[in-house]
Amino acid sequence: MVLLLQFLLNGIVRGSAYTLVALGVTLLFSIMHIVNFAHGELYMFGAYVCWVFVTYVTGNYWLGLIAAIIVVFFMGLLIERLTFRPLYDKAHINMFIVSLGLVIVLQELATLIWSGFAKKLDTGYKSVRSFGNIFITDERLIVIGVALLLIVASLLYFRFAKSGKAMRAAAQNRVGASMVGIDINKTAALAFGVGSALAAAGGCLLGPLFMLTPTMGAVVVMKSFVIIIIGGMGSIGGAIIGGYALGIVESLFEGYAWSEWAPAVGFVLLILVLSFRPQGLFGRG
Amino acid sequence: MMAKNQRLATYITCAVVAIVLPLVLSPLKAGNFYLHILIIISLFTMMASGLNLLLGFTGQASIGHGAFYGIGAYTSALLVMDANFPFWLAFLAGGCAAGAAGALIGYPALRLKGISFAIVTFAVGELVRLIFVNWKNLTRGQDGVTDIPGATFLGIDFTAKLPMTYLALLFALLSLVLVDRIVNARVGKAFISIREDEDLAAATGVNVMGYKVLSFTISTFLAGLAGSLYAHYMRFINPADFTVMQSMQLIAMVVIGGLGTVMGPVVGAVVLLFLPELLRPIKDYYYLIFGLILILVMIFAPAGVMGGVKSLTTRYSKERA
Repeated sequence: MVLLLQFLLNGIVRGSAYTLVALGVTLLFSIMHIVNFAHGELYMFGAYVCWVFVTYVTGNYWLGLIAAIIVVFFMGLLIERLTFRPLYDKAHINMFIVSLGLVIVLQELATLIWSGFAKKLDTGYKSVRSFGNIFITDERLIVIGVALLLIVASLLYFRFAKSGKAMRAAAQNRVGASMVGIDINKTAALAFGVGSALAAAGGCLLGPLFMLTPTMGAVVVMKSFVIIIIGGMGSIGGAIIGGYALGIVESLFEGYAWSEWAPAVGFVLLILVLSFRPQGLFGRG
Repeated sequence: MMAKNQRLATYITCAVVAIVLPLVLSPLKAGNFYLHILIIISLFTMMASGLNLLLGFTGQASIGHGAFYGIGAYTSALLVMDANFPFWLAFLAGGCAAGAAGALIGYPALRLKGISFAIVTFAVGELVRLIFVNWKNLTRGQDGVTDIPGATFLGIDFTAKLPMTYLALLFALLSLVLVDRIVNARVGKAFISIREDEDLAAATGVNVMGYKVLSFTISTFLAGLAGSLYAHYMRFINPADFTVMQSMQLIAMVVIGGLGTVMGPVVGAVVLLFLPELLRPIKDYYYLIFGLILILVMIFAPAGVMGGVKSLTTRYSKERA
């Protein structure tokens, strides 16, 4: 029982970061129809920018987190302007291939700047708390808390902020949205920036629990796509539930069964869900 | 599309080039090295023309093609080593295993459109790689399969570089001819109609699901055959040979060569496999440049090299007419 709770808690920690990245992917893919495989590389850059600030500039994890979110937000704007905007009226496949190119370019840039050797992002919050027989480090509590905060904030943003509403309007009907005066290009750019910032936050949060490497984002972005397909395209709720669920299932699998197969769990779930419910668990058919 | 004589002439030209090129290259100082590159180009041509059939002609993106290459390689190597199959039978079995896996996965997966299908192929690619790594009793895990016997067929030993080059070139040419025959036949028209508009194709009576699965099966079959040749040429395979990066490189070849052109994959394979040699002085930047080229081609010249050639020649023949 204690073990089960411990695994669940680990799963929630992992799921928190998955959810943040998956929210960004949902925002871009399901809502703005931008296919960006390089989203995981923004997660990776977020973690590295945070590392740079913590190691060389301030030594404070929180300032590193904020700096990473800001830097990657602008990186997102730049990438959208240079590579994706020329392709909005072209076939989807072109955007998809461009984003594969971006994956390579960003990974290589990171390797050139920071070398391929793994880096350790140190938060300084290592002390362990115990709740009964369950143990958790402060670091992991921070992951859960900050992720929750950002998820709620983005939900409120989509619902109430003017630019958040504009994104939903553009998602429903591009022509209609531009008729009522919404600048589609600006909205898409902003969505790209916000999605990138969420990915960066995910990288800063999960980064300290593992090592930083230039390829750390590749698996995470695939998992996010798995999450949003399982959750149901376009469903923000589906992305959140899917993100936490995948984290928990993976963690349980690692704890109880063969850990070497844990990376496969999401992919097997994906194939099962698609075979029986192609629109996803929470998607409308 | 092409006149019959013109097509025959193209086939003969390609065959002559394939026969002469190794003879010219092998006496050179770095002859063996050139032959090695030629073999690798041939294998990638097989895979890329298969992927082109799927991506360029049928409009379905697979980012897990490396997995089928791996299935072909492992099936063939293990059948020869653990079940005493002769090479040619194992070679065919490698292709069939990859094709069968493709059909099996394609049937549920191709119900999905566009990017969702691509994600599933990625998932399959990762699953297959994990099987190569973790099913140690069968695949020998991370250590890989060593001492794979070289290819022998009809008493001819293809272990030496020159015969192996001809074997690889032969199958590369056959793949190109196969794709050329397919895309100019009724089947090919069905593939193209699906790429252009799936719903319209279905409305005009094209069995969309059937043709999509067929395209995926042929494409994975070719990848499997290439994998088998790779295994018996390198005589060593391990899971690191069949990664997502390889699948990406294949996509880049098809795109840079020209989506939906028969010769595109050859051009793409030559460019992408010779590029590292040209860029050797700045080899740290190779992948960076490779990624940049992919992005620039897609934004500024989405038709690729052969697409450009095609539009130039049609303009020329129009002016002449």
